[in-house]
Amino acid sequence: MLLNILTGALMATALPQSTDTTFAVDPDLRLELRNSSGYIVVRTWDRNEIRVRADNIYRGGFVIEQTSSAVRLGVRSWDDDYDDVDYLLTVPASMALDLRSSDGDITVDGTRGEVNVRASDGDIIIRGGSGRVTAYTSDGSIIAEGVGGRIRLESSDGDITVEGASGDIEIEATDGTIELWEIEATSVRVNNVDGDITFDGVLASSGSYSLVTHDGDITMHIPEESGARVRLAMYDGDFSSNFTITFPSWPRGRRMEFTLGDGSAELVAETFDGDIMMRRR
Amino acid sequence: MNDKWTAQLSAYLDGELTADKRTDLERHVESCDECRTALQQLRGVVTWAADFEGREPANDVWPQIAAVIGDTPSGVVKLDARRRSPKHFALSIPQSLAAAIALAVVGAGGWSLARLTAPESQMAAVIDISAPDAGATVMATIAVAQKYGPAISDLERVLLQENGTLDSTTVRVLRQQLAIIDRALTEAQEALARDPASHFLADHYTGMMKKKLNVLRQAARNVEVSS
Repeated sequence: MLLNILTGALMATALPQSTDTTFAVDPDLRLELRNSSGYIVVRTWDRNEIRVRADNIYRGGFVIEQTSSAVRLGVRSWDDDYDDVDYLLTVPASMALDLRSSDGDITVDGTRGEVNVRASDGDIIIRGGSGRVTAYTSDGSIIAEGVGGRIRLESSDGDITVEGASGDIEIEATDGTIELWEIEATSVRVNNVDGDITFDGVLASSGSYSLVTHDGDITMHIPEESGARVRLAMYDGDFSSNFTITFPSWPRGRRMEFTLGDGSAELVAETFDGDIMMRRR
Repeated sequence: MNDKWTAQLSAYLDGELTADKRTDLERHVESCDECRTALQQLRGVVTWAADFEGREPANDVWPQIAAVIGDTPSGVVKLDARRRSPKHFALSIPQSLAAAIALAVVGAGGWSLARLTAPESQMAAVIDISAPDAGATVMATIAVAQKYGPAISDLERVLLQENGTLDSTTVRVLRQQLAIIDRALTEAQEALARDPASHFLADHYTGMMKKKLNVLRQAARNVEVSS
């Protein structure tokens, strides 16, 4: 049931309006925000309150609605569409976030909750987050730092950088460079078409790691003591490594397989047009 | 298997051999596992190609959606023109398999429609099926195209119907994405033609097909969100 708990209606005017309001909230609820254009910045604190600062409200009114599962923020304009507003929010650190913007960057800083972020045209930065963390941008880059849990990042046209992440990581990209640094994940799956992939991290025992691109180099920085069954494939490229590698048999075709250490993890790297490099971390 | 027999397989399926040659070929096929396998594969290609001809509506969609998103690939041939051309499969086995891959790409989006009507001399993908596993690998690739082609066509149709709800950024990025993926598919296809026994290339082609399907699904989800 939809409960309208507050309407900070701003009367129609030609001048942009701003609002700055703070209200109590159940941190177990999910925060939902839809924006047409303009940036969204979310910071966190240890209070069960949300502070909303919104600028550039040209028409309609700023609306806060609450359901049994979510708090919804937005600007309800005359034509029942959303407006172009810049938001700076401060929310409980554990609160789940569901943020969408058609045109504008989205930044989430310091959250410990679940994050779902979508931008049609804009960059996304997520620092923190756990549980289920998803980010999609059609045209923009994604940076995720200190993220844990089930992580899924997707950019159609832009670079993706992940740093200090753990859990399960899944990355889909078409045109951009993918970099993963200081990763301690049990599962990593990167699927790219046009762009390099860099992986720097440890391979967990029984972990699964798959790095695939069509046109780009793949560089892996892993500890010398890593244990993994390694499968590599290149159509037009070379493999180089500073590991001591023993091939069980002469490489067949364009694939090569070998084992590092106890072979407990599975590591796959494939590129159609590019080199594969394995370096000691 | 030798060239004497393989050269006749396609004509055999088209009913163009004399009675004597037909009898000789059938006797040979009974005793030659490789030729029997090749004939089965070729029969599958011809059957599928015939089925493909019957799926015109799904494949009529792409030129329209290409126009919607502002892309008019120079190689696209109108289907009605293709329908007027005689339906004829008198190709050698390598040529037939190459054509099958071309058909598969058409089914996956239509960008390579021109390949279907290209002169034989211009057909880039000539496959050496004398390589071990070549036939199986190529047929597996065709199966992949059969598996994903209809879904891709359906999504294209959905996007065409809902194109008014796609914002300009989404349309632009979608066009770029599809161009990149189609280029990758073409490169994988050409590589597979040069190295038909490569399981890596077959898997890679499959991966690119899945990628294209996922991209279209994502675009369809965007339509749902914005509508």
